[in-house]
Amino acid sequence: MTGMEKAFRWGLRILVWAILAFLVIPILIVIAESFNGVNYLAFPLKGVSLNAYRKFFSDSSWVDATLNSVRIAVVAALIATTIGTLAAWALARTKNRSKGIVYGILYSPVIMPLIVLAISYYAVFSRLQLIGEWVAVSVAYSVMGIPFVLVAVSSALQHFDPELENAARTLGAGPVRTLWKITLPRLTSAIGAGAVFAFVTAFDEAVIILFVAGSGSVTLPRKLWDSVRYDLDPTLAVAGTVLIVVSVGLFLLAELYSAVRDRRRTRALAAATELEGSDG
Amino acid sequence: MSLTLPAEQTTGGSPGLPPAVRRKRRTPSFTTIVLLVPLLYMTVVYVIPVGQTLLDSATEPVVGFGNFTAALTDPIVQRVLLITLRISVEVAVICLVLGLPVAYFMSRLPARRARLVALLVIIPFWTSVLVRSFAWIVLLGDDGVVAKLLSPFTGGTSGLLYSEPAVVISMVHVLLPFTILIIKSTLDQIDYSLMRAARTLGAGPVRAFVRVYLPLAVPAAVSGTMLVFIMGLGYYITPALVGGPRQTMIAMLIERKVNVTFDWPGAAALSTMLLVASVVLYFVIRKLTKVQGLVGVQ
Repeated sequence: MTGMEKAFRWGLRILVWAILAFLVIPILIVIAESFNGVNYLAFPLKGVSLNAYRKFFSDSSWVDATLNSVRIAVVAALIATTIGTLAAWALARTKNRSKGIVYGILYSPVIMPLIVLAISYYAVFSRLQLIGEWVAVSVAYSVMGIPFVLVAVSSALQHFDPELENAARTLGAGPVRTLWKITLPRLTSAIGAGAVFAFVTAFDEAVIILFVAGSGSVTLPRKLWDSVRYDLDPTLAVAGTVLIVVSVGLFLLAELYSAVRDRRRTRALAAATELEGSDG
Repeated sequence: MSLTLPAEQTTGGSPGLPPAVRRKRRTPSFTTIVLLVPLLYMTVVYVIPVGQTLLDSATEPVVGFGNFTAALTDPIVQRVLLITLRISVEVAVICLVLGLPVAYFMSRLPARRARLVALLVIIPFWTSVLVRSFAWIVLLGDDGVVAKLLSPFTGGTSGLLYSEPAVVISMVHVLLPFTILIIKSTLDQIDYSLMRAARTLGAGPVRAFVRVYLPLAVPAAVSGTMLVFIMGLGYYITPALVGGPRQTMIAMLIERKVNVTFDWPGAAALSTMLLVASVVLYFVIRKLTKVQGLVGVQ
């Protein structure tokens, strides 16, 4: 290795870690601020305390907003998971020529600017007097989650052997039973990953809710948005921390789950190979 | 009722069977019925609401392109469009410059360590945009960390908040993980033995990099940058929180037209323009490169 190459490597390494620090530090600072000892946001911290947490969890408007977010996101994720999974399966099996268009429609919310979705729902919800209805918010959010479920389940289906379905059908199972007993159990990882993504998208969403929350469905991001413009204090950092912990926590859980699963599968595969070896 | 057996659909390759035989069956197959559920759902809760907005832009209050000509000749809209384009370009270029080295570095690491580094990119990726913008309010505000760090040079502790640099820094922070993940997913497919072959054949390290690696990496970089540009165009939360009145972007103008000036046709026209621009650019990217899309980047 030449000296120049070595210098290049070290330069790259320092640059990369600096950029990674730029990405991570602001998030750590939000978490740190939530433990601030004083009643305003100051960095470095002036003492450590749980005052802001006490304030957050004893203030019913923050707690209600958090529970509202959970409720809206759970329903949105359930709808997105059901619709996205059905669509992925049907698209993988159908020969229908309009397949491309259907996929395009289901995928398109990903490139849809949020503000366009937001004012569209605002117009429709106002007309139907749905502003402030939490179920309506869930339905709007389910649209944003569907592409994630669709992509995750579609890619899992590519590794799924359709002959298994054929075998079940030949043995007399109806199409619904085959889907329920044979196909879905083998897609749980992908469906789970899609569901987590759909949940987090709904839990964090902060643009559509500015238009459709009314007074009945103020979510945690909406409450945080309203408060940021009004007064900066460590309670907001607690709200931010709750949002971070829920999203990142779910992601880490999903990762952990798939890692454990992978390991178990490798072990099973190794055992199976061994058996085969002893057979032959 | 005879349902199509999946056997016939999935083995599909039956080349001997003329298509006419399959088309004879008139009852919709189980898959078609299953496909109709998502299609109907999306039509009712998504296609119709968004379609109505697009339709309104050309029919309210009268049919025609009046709303578009009105928007494009409005000096405020012109200025906002210019600001939106400028900020989106700045953000996309900076994301490319910062994202490329990280993606390159990650794609060269052994799998296990690459996973750990990827966590540092994915955690911000999964953190709400609102929370990250809030973080920059704290960091860039008067007496904030950045102001204090810079005070020896600037002589004061007034922050950067409500300025264009604040908007650009925060938006780069929000969109950079995206750029990195997209570029990395393509770089992972590059075959490094090509570089080694070039070196064996006498090329220096720089030349091997420029002549072999770059031509393979450029499509990834271009598509990643353009995707970030498209996403930047429609941003609302970040510029609204850390920018001032001079950083009004198109999404903020749409919001104001809906909530403050009650100019629904104007808002619909701007939304249509934003949506058309995003979709056109998206298809340009799809044509230019093989990047599959915005999701599934992990």
